[in-house]
Amino acid sequence: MNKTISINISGFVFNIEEQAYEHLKQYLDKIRNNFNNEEERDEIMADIELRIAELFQEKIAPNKEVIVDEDIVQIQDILGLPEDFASDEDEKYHTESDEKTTNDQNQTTKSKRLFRDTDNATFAGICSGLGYYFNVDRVVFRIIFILLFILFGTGVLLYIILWLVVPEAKTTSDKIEMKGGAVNVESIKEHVSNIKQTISDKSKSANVSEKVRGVVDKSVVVGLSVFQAVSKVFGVGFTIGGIFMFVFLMIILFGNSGIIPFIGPDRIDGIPMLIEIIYPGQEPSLLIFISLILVLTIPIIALVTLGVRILFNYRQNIKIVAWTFAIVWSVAIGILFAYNVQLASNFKSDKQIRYSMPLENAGSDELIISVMEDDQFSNHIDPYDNWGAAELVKVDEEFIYFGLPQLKIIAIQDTGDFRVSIIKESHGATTSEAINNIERIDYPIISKGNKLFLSPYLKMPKEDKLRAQYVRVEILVPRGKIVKFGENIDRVLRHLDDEPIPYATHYEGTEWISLRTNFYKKGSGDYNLYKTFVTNGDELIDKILDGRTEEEPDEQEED
Amino acid sequence: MKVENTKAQMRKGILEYCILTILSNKEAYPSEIISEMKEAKLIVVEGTLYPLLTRLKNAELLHYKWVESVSGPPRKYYSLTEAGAEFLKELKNTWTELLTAVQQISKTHQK
Repeated sequence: MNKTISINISGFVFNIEEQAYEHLKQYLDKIRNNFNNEEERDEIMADIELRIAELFQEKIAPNKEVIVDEDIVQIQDILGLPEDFASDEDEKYHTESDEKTTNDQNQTTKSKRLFRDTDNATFAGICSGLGYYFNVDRVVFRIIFILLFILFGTGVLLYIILWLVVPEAKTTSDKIEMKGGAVNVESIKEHVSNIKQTISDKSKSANVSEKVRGVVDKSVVVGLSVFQAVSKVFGVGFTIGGIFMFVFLMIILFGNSGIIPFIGPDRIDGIPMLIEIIYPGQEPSLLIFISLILVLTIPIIALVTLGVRILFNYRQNIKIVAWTFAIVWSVAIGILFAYNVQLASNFKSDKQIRYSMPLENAGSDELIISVMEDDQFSNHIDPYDNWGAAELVKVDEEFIYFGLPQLKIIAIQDTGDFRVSIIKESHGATTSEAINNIERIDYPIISKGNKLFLSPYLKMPKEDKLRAQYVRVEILVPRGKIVKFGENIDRVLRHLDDEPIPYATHYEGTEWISLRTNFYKKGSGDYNLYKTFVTNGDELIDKILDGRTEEEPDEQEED
Repeated sequence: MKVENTKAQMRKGILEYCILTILSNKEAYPSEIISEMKEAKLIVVEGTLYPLLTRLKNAELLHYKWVESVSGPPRKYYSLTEAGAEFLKELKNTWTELLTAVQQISKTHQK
């Protein structure tokens, strides 16, 4: 009874008796030692193994399934002694070859490479190839790719890149390299015994010059492996960085419409919508959107491709693909540029119109200012929650809603009536277009008795596009009159600037008396005086002045 | 100077010449080349051939293509490249020259 093991030669599996295996291995190792040039050696060894596989195949018969020692002897007779493989070119290296064995062994274990396994492919054989490379069942990688596909389509990107970069395992030697030496007990045993052998060899033949050369050789090897390790780190960094950038981009571009709702604001439906309401023309969005995606993703693809190439040590030519990408990218940039030039011309004219708003009871002593229910955004917008005005833009079938109207309440010296005016502003290609845009801004204000109801957002027809439309309500409060803040006032009267006290202040329910050019808070013990109330103005923020500070002249009074 | 070395060097050049000659009129895979050379008693074992073929290929004198085999692993079918054909032509000339030279010298010095 003899123990047999199964071996893989050139992608063919044979059962071989253990002793025969040992002899075969020794034989091949000795042959290998004849060759010094690594590339040449790998190729020659692959050819020889191929021939051995062929000879084994001839030996196998229905009633003889196992390769025995005798077969190995016969094969040696056919192929020749290990020395027969040497040609004179190698003879000068021959004495060194023993010493080189460890290096050779290391390199052979490294020679495994990532290929696409088209024999077991679903699409391009990438999962199967990865399976061989990492010694894992290909199903594992298929599951990983499916999961990555769900994650904003990252799997697709990665798959396409690998498809581009990873060569197909066409030849038998590719297939051997792809399958590589599997890490198992045998190969570990092999490795250890080789190291032992070289150590004993070394101790036998150690003279000074060889020792020195050994040190030099070693430092070169160490240097190379450090370089390789560093470049691998870069490879991993590029790949993972690129994938993260891609995921991030997908979140920004598609927001909630991504397959897994991950993060992302819930008030903006993604970039396509923004493009539609910003760029001129009826249906510009698709072209711009595609260009935008290309401009942003191509560099990411390039980065990941570079990473993968470094990581798996690919050198094959991808010039055509690279040029195609470069051209597509330039075209996309060109398209975006053209659209943006056109867009800029749409902002050329700027117009502002002030409308006077009649009040039902302008002569009363107090005015209660409230904000209507916000049916588009929210009644409570946390100033910290805002990452910009884009969050307060919303679009439906007909209208664009913009949730940032400004409110400015000014204390004036005069006595008399409350006065309310609405300032509307817009840009446009021409002045008349800007005026047209202004006239179409819908910002309802309701005056009922001494109550004033403001709308929390402005509304404009979708075809007008976003042209920096903006609305400011100015309320002039004569000396001695009282302003009361009612429901939802904090939706509009709020401070996005980084002044600590206004954040903490909720205006709802407070009362303010206009005194000289400032407001005095009724019922409060402090003497803080507010010059004006302004919502997050781009130009004016209410200043908190304590009683001692000199007043600055209020320009707004001159209005 | 060992006679073994001289023999090996002589044989090496001739082997290359013979391989190129065999491949000059047909494609062949290693075993075919070997059987021809064995018949001519040029080599006895196959091992000598593989490194030579690889080196000739790397020198771009030969190229090969994979051909699936019915009964085993695929085979490398080698053939001459244009450079190989050119190379062979020169070798042939040199060989004829050498042959005449050697024959002449051997004849005059025959005892």
